Amino acid sequence: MESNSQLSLIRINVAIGLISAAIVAFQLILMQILSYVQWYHFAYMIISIALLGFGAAGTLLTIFRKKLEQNYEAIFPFLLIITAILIPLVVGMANSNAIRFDSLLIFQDSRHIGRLILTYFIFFLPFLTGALAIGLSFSKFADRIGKIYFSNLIGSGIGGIIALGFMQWIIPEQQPFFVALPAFLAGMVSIPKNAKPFLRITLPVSAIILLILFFYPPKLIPSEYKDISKTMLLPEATVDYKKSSPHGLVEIVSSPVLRFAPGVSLTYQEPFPVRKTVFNNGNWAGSLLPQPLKQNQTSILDYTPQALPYHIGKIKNALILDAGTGENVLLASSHQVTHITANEANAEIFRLLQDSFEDFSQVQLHQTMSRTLLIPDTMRYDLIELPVIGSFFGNSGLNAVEPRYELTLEALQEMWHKLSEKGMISLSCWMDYPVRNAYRLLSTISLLLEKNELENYQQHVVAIRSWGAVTFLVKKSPFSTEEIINVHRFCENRMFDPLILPETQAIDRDKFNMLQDMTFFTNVDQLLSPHKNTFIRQYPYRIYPTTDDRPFFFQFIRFKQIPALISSIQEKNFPFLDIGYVLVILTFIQIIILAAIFILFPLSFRKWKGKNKKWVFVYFSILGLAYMFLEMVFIQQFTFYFGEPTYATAATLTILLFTSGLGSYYSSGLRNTPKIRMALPILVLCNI
Amino acid sequence: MIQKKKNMKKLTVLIIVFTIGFFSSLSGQNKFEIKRKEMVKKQIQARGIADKNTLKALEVVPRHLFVPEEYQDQAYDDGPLPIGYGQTISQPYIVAYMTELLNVGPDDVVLEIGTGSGYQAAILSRIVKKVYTVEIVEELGLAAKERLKALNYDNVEVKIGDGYYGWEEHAPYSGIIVTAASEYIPPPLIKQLKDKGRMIIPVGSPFSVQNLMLVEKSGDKIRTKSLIPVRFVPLTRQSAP
Repeated sequence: MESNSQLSLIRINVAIGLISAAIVAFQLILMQILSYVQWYHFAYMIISIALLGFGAAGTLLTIFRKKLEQNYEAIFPFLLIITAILIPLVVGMANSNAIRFDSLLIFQDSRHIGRLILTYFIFFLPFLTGALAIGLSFSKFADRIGKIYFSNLIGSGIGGIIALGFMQWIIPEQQPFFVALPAFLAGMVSIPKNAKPFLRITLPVSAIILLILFFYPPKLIPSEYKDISKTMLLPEATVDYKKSSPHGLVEIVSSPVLRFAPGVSLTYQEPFPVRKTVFNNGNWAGSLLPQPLKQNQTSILDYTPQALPYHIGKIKNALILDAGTGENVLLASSHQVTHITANEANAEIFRLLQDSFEDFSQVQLHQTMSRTLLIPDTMRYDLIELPVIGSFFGNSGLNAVEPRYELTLEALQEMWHKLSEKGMISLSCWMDYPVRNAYRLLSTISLLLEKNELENYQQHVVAIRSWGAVTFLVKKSPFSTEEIINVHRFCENRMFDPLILPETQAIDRDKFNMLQDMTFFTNVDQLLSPHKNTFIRQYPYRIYPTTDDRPFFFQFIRFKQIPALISSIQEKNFPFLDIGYVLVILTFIQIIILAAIFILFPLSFRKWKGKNKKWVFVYFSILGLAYMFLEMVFIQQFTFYFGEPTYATAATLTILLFTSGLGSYYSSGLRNTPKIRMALPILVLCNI
Repeated sequence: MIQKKKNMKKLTVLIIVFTIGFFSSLSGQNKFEIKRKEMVKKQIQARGIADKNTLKALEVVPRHLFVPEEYQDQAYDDGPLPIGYGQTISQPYIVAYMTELLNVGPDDVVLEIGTGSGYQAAILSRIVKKVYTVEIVEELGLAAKERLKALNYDNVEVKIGDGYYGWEEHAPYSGIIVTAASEYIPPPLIKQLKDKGRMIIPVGSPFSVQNLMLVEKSGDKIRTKSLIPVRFVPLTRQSAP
């Protein structure tokens, strides 16, 4: 083969490995960047765009194969260098004022749809050029395809790992530059000794461009509707700390007017504490506890419904899940809980948590996911507490595609088994309108109690309501009369109202916090009644309990709601809309259209030359589908363990591509023999 | 002679241009006026807002002058609009609903926390004696101040500052509107509310329909009431089997 090419196959393989690594790493860091500047459902868009780039490259190759192959020595390195420049360049372009789109304005301002499409196109370019370089090599060295595939897939696998390294050690603005380096190296490696002058000039010119992009990296500006953008508008707001990791970009912001008092009772008359605020990917992640933290420090959360468990009985042993910056840990500590276990998955936020409680011997901290902590844990707890669900401002359905494994029925079941005899699970949520969070929580609680075959399971639930939030307590043993008296007392002192109490007499549910009508109370009663399934079925939103197979707590939309949804779009208003869900659908539709334009339409001008057109199409379509399904299942399953789609995607891509690379390497040695033919059905059966 | 003819031609062209300009600007104003009246009729009255002062104020305040130029044509549509800095101008119906709910009249003094574009303050200024409004984002506050001054809303006073503390020197207020809602209700605002006074806080993310929180003060007692804008109440009510 080297006779056909002046480049050695080793150099080509190295170049293929490097560009493949760059492309996969670029996919992952783009997911991270988009999660920061927008919201993370755009991460899925990147996978589609990358695949679109590969598809379009295939089409170009089909049409211009001969010409491209004839000029392989020039085109291959040129494409690699162009890819290297495009990687940081497109990030800068997409974040420029002229092109930057905003998720929340897509339905508000048609210009942002245009910007979104333009962003697709811009991000598509490096994937197209990179994929074209790889595809061209496949085509040129078809007889050595096994080895080239091997380099491609192993390189891609390594790309997943180096992306995680970049995310850990390099700030997001600089990440595209570092991802471009392997692509640039690939270009350098593949330039032949007797390269044409234009190619020789390309190398230093592109090196200069890359250096400029290194010293003047693209500025990443988060959506003006993200928490951090609004906070930065406050007087004297400054970013005190910034650290990137695969979990996201953690930033700590201070301002003299940044206060922390989430949903605090109107009886609280002290000045609200000014706190530094922690953001992860631009989203509020917690308030930094005052440093150094005193042992007797009180928590302002004592004036929120979340404090209820500590006011109705003695808690000795508490498990605080997803502790974030530790306010709930402080609440437990201020109530003299003798043993507090807490977890936080985000390494950076965990470090802050550790710093706050390093002198608290009663606090044990774990850097892990809630479910990972729960499964092997053998402790028994008097209280298991989850953080408040939802947001005070509502979330416009932006979290609709975010899996929440700690809120599934299975998760609650695991928590239930970790409770001591008098133990309780505490679940709180902000009130949203129309009500969804509270109903879904209650339907999950209701099913949990039913599954545990408790007699009079209404005796095991208590709930209270403030002006903005609801707290549910689920207790392993029935609530005692004394505990119920304590609930009443706590409500009275804090101006909260009881919502669910295991009492026979009617309770005053809106003494302090009235609602427009009784619908909410009626519906809560329905969810604890034997008719709950009818109610869950008939409610306009999906409020049935989420499970590990479908862990999307914030996905409330029903298909039958789509007409209402469309009409709400026409009215430029989204009362019934889960924007996150719609954005994923919108992305899917746009990608289908772009795929038709860039892949199918050009191919329609070219006739099929080979045999078995139908079977080739079926074979590769099924193979592609199988890969996609595997990828989706793996990403979801890994998200369960890692709790972070970026980690999950990196792990999935690395494993899939690495093992596929090995498969390709060995497949070149396989021959169509009777033994192999016999082994195939057995392999298929094993897989099933 | 030729010069005279040329001058006449120039003059004629100028007159035509001026006339077209004049009438088109008139028709522009007229267009917004028609839209505004339609908005009040179809979006506000049709949804049950009956307070005459509120309806009159919405009919006269030129909402299109409170939104960025590129959104002026959408100013009277049934929805919120972006005004920059992550802020929005509320849906006209929500503005009307909050104004009616505040239940204030010509002798009242009102405080607004979160001036935004200044539209809510302009509406209130047509109803009450004096409106004090506080905006924490300097750029927004200054722009609103200038806009309100240019449009002769003389009974509105804008202050750039931290809304948490309200505006103590002019307290007590008959009504307080907290348009820039946060996760807490600041105690100083409750203190600055008159006895029997009302405070209204809209809750919701930028482009979703908002829930309204009404805080009523009666002596030492405080009560909150969660008010769901009527628009989606029928849907939730249908749910009860």
